[in-house]
Amino acid sequence: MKRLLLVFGIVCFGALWAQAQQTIRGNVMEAGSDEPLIGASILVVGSDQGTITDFDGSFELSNIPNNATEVKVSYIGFESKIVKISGQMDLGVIELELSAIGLKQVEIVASVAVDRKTPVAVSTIGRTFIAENASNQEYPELLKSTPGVYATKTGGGYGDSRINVRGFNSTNVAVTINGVPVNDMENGRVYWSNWAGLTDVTRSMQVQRGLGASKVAVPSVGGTVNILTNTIDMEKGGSVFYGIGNDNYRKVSFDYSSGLTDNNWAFTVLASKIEGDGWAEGLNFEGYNYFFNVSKVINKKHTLSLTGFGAPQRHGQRQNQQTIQSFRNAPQGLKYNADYGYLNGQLVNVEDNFYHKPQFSLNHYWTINSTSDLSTAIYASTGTGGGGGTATDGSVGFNEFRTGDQYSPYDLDAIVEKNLTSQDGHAFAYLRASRNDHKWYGMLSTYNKKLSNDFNLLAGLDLRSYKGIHFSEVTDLLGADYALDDNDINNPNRRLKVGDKRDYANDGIVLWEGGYLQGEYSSGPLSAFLSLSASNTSYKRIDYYNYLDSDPLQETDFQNFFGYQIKGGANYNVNKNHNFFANLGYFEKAPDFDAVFQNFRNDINADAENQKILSFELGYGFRSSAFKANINVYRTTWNDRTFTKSFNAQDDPNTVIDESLAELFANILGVNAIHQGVELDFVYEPTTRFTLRGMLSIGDWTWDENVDGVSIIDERQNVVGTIPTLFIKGLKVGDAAQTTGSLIADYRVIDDLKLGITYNYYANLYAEYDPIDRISDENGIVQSWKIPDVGVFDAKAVFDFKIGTLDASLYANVNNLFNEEYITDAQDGDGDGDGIGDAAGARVFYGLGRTWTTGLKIRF
Amino acid sequence: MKNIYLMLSGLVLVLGLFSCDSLKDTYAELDENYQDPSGIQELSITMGDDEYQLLEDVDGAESIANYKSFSSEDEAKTYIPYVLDYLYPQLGKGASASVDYHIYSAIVSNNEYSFELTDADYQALGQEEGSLDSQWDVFDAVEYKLANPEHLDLVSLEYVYDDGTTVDTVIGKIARYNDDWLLADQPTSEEYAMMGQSFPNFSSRTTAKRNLAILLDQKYPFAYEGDVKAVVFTYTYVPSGGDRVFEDYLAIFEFDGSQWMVIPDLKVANLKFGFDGSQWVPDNTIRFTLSSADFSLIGGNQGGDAGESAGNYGNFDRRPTGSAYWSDEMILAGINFLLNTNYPSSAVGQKYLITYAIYDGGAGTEDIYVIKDSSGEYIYYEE
Repeated sequence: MKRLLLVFGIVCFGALWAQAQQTIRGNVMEAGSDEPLIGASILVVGSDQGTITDFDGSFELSNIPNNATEVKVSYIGFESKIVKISGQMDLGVIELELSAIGLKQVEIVASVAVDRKTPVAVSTIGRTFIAENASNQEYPELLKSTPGVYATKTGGGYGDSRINVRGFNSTNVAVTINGVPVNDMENGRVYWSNWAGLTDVTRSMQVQRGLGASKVAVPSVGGTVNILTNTIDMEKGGSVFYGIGNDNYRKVSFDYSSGLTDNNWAFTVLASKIEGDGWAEGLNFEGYNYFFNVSKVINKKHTLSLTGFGAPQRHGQRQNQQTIQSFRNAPQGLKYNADYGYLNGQLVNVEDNFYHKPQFSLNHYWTINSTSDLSTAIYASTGTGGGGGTATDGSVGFNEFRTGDQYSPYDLDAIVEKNLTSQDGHAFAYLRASRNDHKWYGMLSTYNKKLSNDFNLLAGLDLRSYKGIHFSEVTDLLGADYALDDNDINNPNRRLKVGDKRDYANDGIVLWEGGYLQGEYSSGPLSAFLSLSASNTSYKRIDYYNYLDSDPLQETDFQNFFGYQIKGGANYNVNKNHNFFANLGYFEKAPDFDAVFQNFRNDINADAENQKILSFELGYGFRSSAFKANINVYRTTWNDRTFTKSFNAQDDPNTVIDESLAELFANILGVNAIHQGVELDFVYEPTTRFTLRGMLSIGDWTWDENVDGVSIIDERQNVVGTIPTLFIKGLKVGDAAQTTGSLIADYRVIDDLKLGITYNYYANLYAEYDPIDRISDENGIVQSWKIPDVGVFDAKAVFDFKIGTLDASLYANVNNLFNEEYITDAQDGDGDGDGIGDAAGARVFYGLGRTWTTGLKIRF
Repeated sequence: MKNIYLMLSGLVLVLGLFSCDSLKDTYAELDENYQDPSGIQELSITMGDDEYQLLEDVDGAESIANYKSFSSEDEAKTYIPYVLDYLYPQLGKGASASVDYHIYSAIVSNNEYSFELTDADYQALGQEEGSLDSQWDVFDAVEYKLANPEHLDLVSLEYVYDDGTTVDTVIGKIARYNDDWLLADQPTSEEYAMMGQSFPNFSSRTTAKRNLAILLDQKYPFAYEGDVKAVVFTYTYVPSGGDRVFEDYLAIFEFDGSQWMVIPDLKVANLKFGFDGSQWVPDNTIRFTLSSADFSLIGGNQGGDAGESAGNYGNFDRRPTGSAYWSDEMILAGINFLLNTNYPSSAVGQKYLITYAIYDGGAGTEDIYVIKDSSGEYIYYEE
């Protein structure tokens, strides 16, 4: 660790070289990203003297006429900028804003943070970074080199990656695509496989850590990930891409933009297909992507833009974590996957996932007058799909059917044979899928009014209507005549065929009405904002299986929960090099759907408590032409984290109660966590050919206090029991590395060849556990098993060349270059029976071994 | 430019230190306590000639090798581990062996009694004539004289027998066999002669049993399968440095449907052994893994969400927060229910090592080791 700090130190000193220069020079970059604009023109206003930027966006201009006061910086597809040069030799970084239709408005709707203006801790990655590093990595992994982020591939299935920000999992990380929130309306989770492959049309991805700049109420406890897709490129053209990789990875994609036509129409389309066998066993996948945007500039005041995208996919999963020893014992080693089988010689992904969630949005941008405008997005998304798995009648277990030893695949042929012996034709074992379909409609509207030169007022509405449709269905009877199911109270003892529903069927309906008001002040070096937002969430549950159709309890009333947030912050630019910022916020987050309805029934937990989050950040930024750095500290206290415990009366021999009140639950309040830490990131370009990016993030995330005797309440509000003390004080939060660091060194060997190496370091990663399981202090308060620290290298190469008149790029990536064996995910477990989690008891996923991809992109 | 190369290679070198073999220590820790499952085998073997031969050079076990049998269970517990050691030196801690072996238990009489029926006895038995006239009368008489007979007690009873034509005083030999009385055949001098004996006795027990079986075949060819007969024969030998001895010997025969077979002196018995890492020790642990049917049974007994979950998924949900949570106490209770249902007649002290599937966010297994205590309850067994 000390060595790592030393390296950062060296780099920081290096920044001081680059100051005093005697010629006019600068760097032209795309605003909001670290991407240089190559070939941008710099023209001295009032003369014909000028130059263009180099491949790193830098330029130098000498022999300027004495009377020259400003230069014009311009680049196709971007808005030109006039920069004053009086007495100034080093112009530093000149950022050009994209002139793509609607981009600015989308950025406002999505609350994209602006450097040295928006007072939040933020990291942004842009198109070039994504193109060079995408390889076989998914959205979360592209962010792994930004502070506070911990991303893993979990089991390694396509789209199964996950992200934690500042130690909070995806339930507490808001994700928006073009400003439209995509966290599941019921449980808050983000399913990245829904967007797998959308990286191809991503123009930028921004992580705002902490409460962030988001105006609408979103669950940004850990942070917000804003994904902006391409809208309309002004430039006409397109590209084709073909890539291959390890384990039969193949990707082909095509995109095309019309540019803005003479009659003010424009469209962009993209289509791609990705397939492969997956690195581990039984993870074969096939995914498609489509994206389109059609825009019409109606007149100077109105623009309409329709965007649609989706990524239908089906992939095999590795659902079950295994002990370290199992992976060591398995003949296939780290590629061992217990969750697939063979039937008639064909591989069957017993645990699989299939989903298609197209999203369409119609955006209207209305410039009302010179001081006000209104941006409105109406969107709709429908999700169809689910996850496959096993089902039995209770007399057999799937694990009894393996083709060989315990590490071998399921022997589905043996199950067919077994099913054929069934006297009454029912299936002993069969395959099912748990389906989670949904329909989601919403509207986001933002009104922006410039009250004075310094003061801006924003007001907005966020309306959502969501219906989740949950059921399980039979997908393969494995040779049986039918599957027997007796879970539908309205239709007992059914003989099910493939496609029939089973086990459960219920709908979750969520209505959301939110609004916000934000004031922004910006004058000279100071900018500040104050934001207030509130939302009402209404939940309704309809249970078709546990209640008779004639039973009014089948459908609940709407349960309403009110949440709000208030936050504010300020940024002060001391000079062109230094800026400071601070922000402070408090918000109350409505409980999730699953906390409101207990026991997988319509048992209403009307007293479910709001979670309360208080957060502040202090930050400092340094900018010079060669060195950019940010450092910030944060502290988030998260109080009354939702925990409910529900159980049967007879489960607890100590509770003597009326048997008719068998369904009980407790809202466990006072489970509080403190997440605090320091985050540093920098970009250093000592020469035009070399770029070093680095990040160090040191978190201290712990549970706060022990929680004493929580009362168990029955539906008549009687206290019927007590949950013992939770011993959690000082326990480290698990499931995300508390210390992360990264260095990315890019070196342009020759003008057309760029080589890069990425190093990521993960430390203080504790196995996941449930704090409300900690009901004993027999061993004192002991941490869960600590996963060994590790550093992992990736390497990349990009070669730009010409095919005739067409630009082409050849990409090559090797991830986990040294084939490091390391653990990314662990569930705490006790192997030696002393009540303390250890390496023998933990069940884990390993990081993938060495993987590679290479691809060719040709632009036209 | 050179500086950059220098810096880069320095970086890679420094960072490389963080990245080699991150799991080395973890693996070492695991290896320390690791029990390779391939060393944990469950053997089932029978002591045959070859196995007994292995004890030839073991001190104190020469006669075992010689007679291919043990004289007691304790002897078997002492010496079978030598055989297992020799045969399976490769196995590891946790291996177990179920061994069938032979134990020599000659059928000799237990207690011998001698009674003579008096007039008062006949009166008490309701035999006014002062004689007995059926086998059942004889058994009644023995029972009258000997209140609490034990297995293989041998009674000499002198009584007057009236077979309807003649009235004789006889000395009957009556043997207690399990819960029944058997009126033992006593070969006559003619029968001894027919069996090739010069004198009315045998000097070899092996010959006696062989020949007596043939005699019974001739005398009782119409027996039914499962019929049992006792024979008392005279065995004679001369102990070293002493006078010739004559002893009554009891042999029990059973009709197998076609011929009479002697119930052998060598009996097959079974012992279980476990390997504790350094030696084989007697161990009666029965190991098994809960089947889906077992989970259904335990779940049905438990009821509630937990019971339903166990039945549906074939595992115990071990997430304390969940409504289907199985606590240690619930599992112990479930195991008690299962064992009492499936093995109601297990002996006190019987141990079970049971593996079961669990779910605690991922799939896994746990073990429970129990022993039946004197109250008939299964409690945790600590090794």
